Formats: sequence, C-alpha cells, structure tokens
Amino acid sequence: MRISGLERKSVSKYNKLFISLAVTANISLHAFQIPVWVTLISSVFIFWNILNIYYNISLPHPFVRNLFVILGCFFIYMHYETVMGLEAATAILVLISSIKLIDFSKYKDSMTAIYMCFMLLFFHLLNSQSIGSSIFFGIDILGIYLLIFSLHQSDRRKSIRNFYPAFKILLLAVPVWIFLFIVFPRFQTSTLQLTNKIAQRGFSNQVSPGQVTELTQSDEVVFRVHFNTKMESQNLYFRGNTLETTTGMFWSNQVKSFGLPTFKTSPGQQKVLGEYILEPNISPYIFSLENPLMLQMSADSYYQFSTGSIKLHSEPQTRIQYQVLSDLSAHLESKAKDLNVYLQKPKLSPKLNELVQKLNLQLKANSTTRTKIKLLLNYFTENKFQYTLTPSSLKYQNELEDFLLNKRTGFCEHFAASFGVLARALNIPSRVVVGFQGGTYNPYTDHWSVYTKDAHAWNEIWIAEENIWLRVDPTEFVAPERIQKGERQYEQSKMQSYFNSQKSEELNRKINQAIEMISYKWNSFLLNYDFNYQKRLLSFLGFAEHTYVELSIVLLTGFLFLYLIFKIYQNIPAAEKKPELKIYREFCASLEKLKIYRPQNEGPLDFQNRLLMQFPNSQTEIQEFFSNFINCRYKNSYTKNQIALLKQSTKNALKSIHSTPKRYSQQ
Amino acid sequence: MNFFKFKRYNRVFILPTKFGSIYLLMVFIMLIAGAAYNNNLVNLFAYFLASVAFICMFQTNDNLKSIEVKQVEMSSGFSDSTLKLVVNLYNSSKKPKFNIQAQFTDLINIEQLEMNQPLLSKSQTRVISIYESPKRGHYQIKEIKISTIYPLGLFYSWMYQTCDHDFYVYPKPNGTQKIPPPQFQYQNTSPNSKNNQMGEDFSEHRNFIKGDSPHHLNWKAFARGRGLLVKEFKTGASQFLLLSINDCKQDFTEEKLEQLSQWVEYCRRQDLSFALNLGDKKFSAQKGSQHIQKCLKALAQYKDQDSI
Repeated sequence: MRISGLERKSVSKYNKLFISLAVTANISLHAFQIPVWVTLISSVFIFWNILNIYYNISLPHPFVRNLFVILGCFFIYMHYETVMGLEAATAILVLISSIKLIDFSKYKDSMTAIYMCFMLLFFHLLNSQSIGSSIFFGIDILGIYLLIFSLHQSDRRKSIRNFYPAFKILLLAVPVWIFLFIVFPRFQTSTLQLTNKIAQRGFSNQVSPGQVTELTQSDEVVFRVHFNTKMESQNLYFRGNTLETTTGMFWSNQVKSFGLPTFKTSPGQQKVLGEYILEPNISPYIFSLENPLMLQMSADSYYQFSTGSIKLHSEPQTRIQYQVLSDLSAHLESKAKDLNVYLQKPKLSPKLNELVQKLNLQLKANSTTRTKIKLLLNYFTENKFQYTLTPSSLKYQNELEDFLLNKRTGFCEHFAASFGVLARALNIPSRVVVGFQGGTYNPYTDHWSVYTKDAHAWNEIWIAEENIWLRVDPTEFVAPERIQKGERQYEQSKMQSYFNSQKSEELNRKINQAIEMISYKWNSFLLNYDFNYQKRLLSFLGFAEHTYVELSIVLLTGFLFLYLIFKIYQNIPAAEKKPELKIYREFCASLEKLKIYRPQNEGPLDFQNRLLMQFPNSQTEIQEFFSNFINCRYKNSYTKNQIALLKQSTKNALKSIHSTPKRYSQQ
Repeated sequence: MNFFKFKRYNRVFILPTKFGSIYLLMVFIMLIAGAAYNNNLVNLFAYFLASVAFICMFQTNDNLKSIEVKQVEMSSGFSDSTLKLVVNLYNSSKKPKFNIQAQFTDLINIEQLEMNQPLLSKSQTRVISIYESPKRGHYQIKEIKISTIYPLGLFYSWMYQTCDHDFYVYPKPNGTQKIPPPQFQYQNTSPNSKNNQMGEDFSEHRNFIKGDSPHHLNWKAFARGRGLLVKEFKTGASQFLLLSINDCKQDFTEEKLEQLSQWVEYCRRQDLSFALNLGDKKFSAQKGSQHIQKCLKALAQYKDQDSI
C-alpha cells in the first residue's frame, strides 16, 4: 500500500538524534556477547552518525557502506562458522543496524532503523529474562513507540502534550496485552537449547575438597521454594546427588541405583509439600527436601533413584517448576544386598589406620551404630575441629590424613568426606549427600530462596538396628550456627561482625527481601506461565479441560468484547471537572442543535461576536452569559454564587436564542 | 472490476501498510520463537506489539470518520509543469484529526504537503498536493481520495468522497516560430454604445433604431429621401495580433498548439491584444486574463478535425 509522498519525506534532526540513541541503546545490550571487532565497528559508525547530525560531516559513499556489510557478514561467518545461530544472527544485526544509522535521512530508512531496534530487543530477550532486562524492555519499548509516533506527527510544536495520543494508545493496549497473555494458547513444545546462556553452577557426579567451596563463591539463586507449612532453616536439607564411591577425600557417584526409594515412616508423620522453581543450571539434579513421596513436574522425564535422588534426562535449560511432597519424619530404606557398595573402604595411611584402631578401642563389643556415630562426632568436637569459609589447601594425595590429624579446619565437604570414610572404617555403611542446606526466607512472599552459597555436603549412615538411613551432618556439631542460619546468612553475619555494622543488617535484609519478593513473583507467575499454569488458571475461571478450539473462541470473543469497550470509550465525552467549563460545554452542545458549531480553536470572545451577529435580538443575554463565563473561567477563584449566576445566564441566553430566528445560516 | 477500485463513497477502508506488514510479520516470528524457546518475555513482547497494532487499527480508522470534503480546487496549468490540488476538509466530529492526505488518484502525485496542525473539531483546513501535469485537455475531478496512516504508520485507511470540479491542462508554451505581425482594427462607435468614447471620423450610416437619439440623425439624408439614418464614427485604428493555427508551420497539431500557446503567453506578458483562430473556433481581439483563459481553454480542448 503506497504511502504517497511519505516515503520521500525527510526526517528532522530531532528525530534523527533520538533514532540514533534508540539504536545505540539496543546495540549496547549485545556489546559483550558479540565479537569485539563488531562492537568497535558499530561504535565507529554510531560516532560518525552523531558527527553528521551535529557537524554535517559527510557520510561514506554507499559503496563503502555495502562493502562493510559484506565484509562484516563474511568475518562473522568465519568467527562463528555459521550465520544461522542466535549469536551470529545477533552480530550481523548489530553490524547492519549501526551501518543503517548513517543512511536514514528519509522516512523509510528511519522506520527500518526503528524496526531493527525491535529485533535487537527481541534477541536480547531470548538471552535474558531478568527483571533488569524487563525494566529496560519497558523503557525501551516506550521510547521506540514515542519515536514512531513522532515520525508520523503533524504538529511541529515541540511539546510533551503532543505525545498524549501516543501515551493513550499504549495505555489502551495494556488491557488487550494482559488478555492476550492470559488467554492466548500456550503449547506444550519441547524447548530448544540456547547455548552458553544457562547458569554455570551446580553439582556434578563427584565432590572433592574445594568443589563445594567453589560453588559458595557465587551468590546466584539456584531455586526458590514455597512450603505449605512453616519451616526452620536447620530442617532444610535439599538433596541433590548421592555419592557412594570414595578414594578418601574424593567421593563420586558411580553406581546407578534406579528405582523408587522406599521409606520407613514414623508414627508422627511430618509431610511437607514444596512448590519449587529451579533456575537453569549445569546440574541435572532436582533438589527437594528429603524423603520425596510424590513428585509432580512438567519436565519430559526424569529418573528416580533408590537413594532418593532425582535426576533429569539433561541439564535444565529453562526454568522448571515442580512440586514435591516430602515426609521429614521418614527414613530411607535399603535392601541388604545393596549395602555392600556403601562399605567400600579406601586405602588409608598408617596414621589413619592408627586413628581407626584408637577409635575401635573406645567402642564396646556390642556398641550400637548410634554409639559409634556419636564417637566419631565427639572426635570432631573434642579435637577442636573448626569450620571455616576459607579452608586452606591440604597435602596432595594425603588430604584425609592432613585434615583429620593436622589442619583440622575445613568446609562442609571435608567433614562429610572424612566422616564417611571413618564410618566405613568402623564397618558402618555410609555415603555422602550433596545438595543445599538452609536458604533465605522472604516473609512477604512466604518462600525460601536457596543460593549457590547454600551448597552443602552431609552424610547418611546406615543404622543396621533400625534398617534405616540416618542423616548425620558433622558440620552441625562443629558449627551449629552454620546450620541454623544457612550458609549465606552465616557468611553475612560473619562479615557484619567483622565490619561491626550490625545496625545496617536489618535494613539490608529488608531491602534484599523486597528485591527477592519481586524476583519471586516475577519468576513464579510471569516467567513460568506455561501450558500447565494456563490450564490451571483457566480451570479456575471455569474453562476446565479446554481445547485449543475453545480457547480460540474465547480469544475471539474477548477481542470483540474489547472492541465494544473501545467503541463505547471513544464515544464517552470527557468528564468535565470544572463547573464553568461544563456549563459552557452544555451551552455549545445546545447550540449545535441549531447547527451552530464552535470550532475547537475559537475563543469565547470570537464566539460571542459571531453569535451577536447572528442573533442581534438576543444581544443582552448573550453578552451577559459570556461575561459571566469569562469571569468564572479566567479569574483565580470564584464563588458558588457566580456559578449559579452563570447557570441562570446560560438559561436566559439559550431561551432567547432558541426563540429568535438566525440572521443567516452558519456552516 | 479491479477489486481495489471497488468503492463505496464515504466508506472507510483499511489495510496494513508496508511497514505494518513487516510489523505483523515480526509479531508472528516472535510468537513462534516464544513458543519454541518457552520464553515468556518474548511472548509478552509479541503480545504487546499485537495489542498496540490492534488499538492502532481503530485509531487509524477513526481518524478518517466525520471528515467531509468541502471544496476542491485544482489550478489549471501547462502540460509540462505541475498542478496544485487544494482540498478543504471539514471535521464534523468532536475529536481532532491528524495527518490526513487528500489526493486525486487519476494523476501522478509528486508531493503531498503535510498538515502542520491537527484538524480540530468543527474546523476546516486545507490539504495541498502537487501533481505531474497530464496531457493537455479538459479534466474533471469526480472524486477525491482521503487517506491517513496516523498514528503509527501501521495501517493505511482511505475513503472516497465525491466532488465536482474541472480543470484544464494547456499545451506547453513551446515553439520557435516568430509571432505574426500586428494587425490593425477600426472600432465603430455609436451614440448608444456602452463605450462612451466617440470618434471624430465619420465611418458609415446605419438605419434608425427605435431609441436612438434624434440629435444623431442625418437630417440632410432624410431630406434627400434616404430615410432615417444614424451616423457612426470611428475612434481610430488599434493594433492586435492574429494568432491562427493555419499560420503555424509545424507538422503536427500538438506542436502547432504549443506554438500558439507560446504566442498567447507572449501576449500575456506583453499585455497585447490578440485574436485567436482555431478553425472552427474564433476569438476576437481582446486582452486581459479572462480572454487569455478562454483562449488557453480552447487550445486545451482543441480537437484536430482530421483526427475526429
């Protein structure tokens, strides 16, 4: 559809500058994700464009521009070895957008540059779904639409009032937007992989000294969970992987014990339902409270192990929501034939063998497993083992001995690994569990946020007398505060006491909680609104078991309804808050019945003069009305009496006008 | 009948513009990407774009409603120049209207001057557009196309309104032939002529007409039995140019007309009196803008007798 003349229309300097700013802002989103040379070339072209706008520096010949485009695309292809991937496409788009900036003197070039901003924003949102990105998205989209509106505006006066129609359009679009978000059909498609854009955090199939410590360097959220009951931090042990093979300080998971776990329940059941939102990460494990009785999730498939661990087919590339019902009072069971793997003993040094013999001597012949456990824990507490956030390195290939006999300072993985080895040395089946312990509670949203810093390792010991696996956390005995507060808060409290800034601790906590609340709401509703969530919401609204056809009908009906609302809204006259203007408007409306129209730009005095010419017999009444109106309208304040007088003079004027014929017809 | 030519007057039509189509394609791509990557922010983005387009559609459509064409004026001109169309639009609604264009679709539009101010409620405004001149001739404007892409250029809305206006395209002034030499003309004046100037030289007698003044009767002739005769006098000789198509030496009719057009323009510039002879149409020697207009119109409408 040809737009006659508009395509040849030149763009003002004002609009050129703002288009440049918009393109620059959108290009900068990708500055650190594309090759450096692309960023540099784009910067050169942006700078050149600004020089052209302000100082009329001449622009490069079209041949030069085209050459840069072709060469740029070629080198991007060489860099990525493809042009079809997201990163390559982003780099090409950034390059073309910056080159386009130096050739947008006409309307169609400007619109092309603006539409490139849309695409740049789209590519950015494919990579990032944080709240920061969303806030930028809101500001950016507002700016882009105001820019498009400015290009199509006829009024050349530079005033914010000129943009009121644009704001009105955007505001009117909001209810349609919300409606589409809720009702537009979602599909259960398998997600595509976005390479290199997931969080680089999580547990692998093994743990060794330093690996858990390394995880605690990051303060990113791993998952968030909401429980149906009040929970204490010290009870929050989120199981990840279970490790059974050891060479000392080094533990790994080599045995795949597939199958549903079995539990021994206690009389006083303590079932807790948790709703989890797991962030994308490199670990394929699902984290949940211990003893998962029931799991409900939308992921394609997962494995459950008899150890209680749950693993996905592959690492989660996108956010996953799931529910787990756990029984905190239950204990895992195992068959006797499966216990052999948990008795595998590593080769111990002579000094460690001596230690084991000493410990054995302290035990009686009929000592129970629990007694033995207590003995081992006493060894940690009596020998002043210390829990430290910055464990020092241990002797190479002799880490266990160095930790147990010399250094005696370490992180949770040291305690868990060494405790597991000692337990096996005493013929007690044991294993190491890696996961998370504790978290940060947000009272505003009643959910827990578990960070990478909360990574933890603990043990499970087989109690032969009871046929159950018992959780034993040596860290709890060495540093009970760590377990009570959770690692993150424990670290923060240490930092606070070091800097002696406890007064600001409360404020910081509240700020963090507020931020966390927004993030949680953002994740739980907005970003996780998928097929299942939509199904639940529509069921709640009365559309149970909807089909796509039914949903499409709802969509169409909704659009028709919105259309009707819009038409009604358009026909509603604006409510007049000022009484004198309301009276004046009614006066003008009454005259319209006599086909006397007052143009919007005609002032009261001009209108009065026109009426006096047409209705000379009503001169007194007309003059009285306008005099009263001007007094009310243009004075700083007026009384009720003056309004009453204005009303009366309106009636008199209208009565007089309606009763006398016009002198001549008015268009 | 061409679908796009089908029209109902005063009915508003709407379609996406080129950029509107690209915009809708972008929305579609984002929806696919949002579903494929399960990315709700991309979905949100796509829905917002779609919502704005939905609202824009109504705004664009609404921008043309209650617009009336009050007056159309297309200035006549020469065939190698441009023509200016001025359309007076009236807004009978309560809301202002923005960025409206008015066009005559039968001619090639060169430039569309923008409305610098909104068209306020119950107000009029002029919308000007410039066209490439067609071939010489007499043209009629039966309808005007009013269109808009306000507010965001996503949709193109248009409607047709009837009007009745005609204009002429004159042959372009072009020719190398020298203008014919001036000729002389004597003007007779009579006592009753509207021209009050009476000449001194006797020109001729004419028969008495009831109402003539008896003072101007030739009594001597009456005494001689020649009846009642009124004397007429001449003011003196006046010069004019006789522009005749037969005097044009060009081979083709169009070139002859262009030559005549050039001579007419010359006379206009020099303020000379001229007569025009187009074979079947003749215009007596006069000067002034009205005479020039009549002659140029005749040139515009000239039909070659051989080609009829």
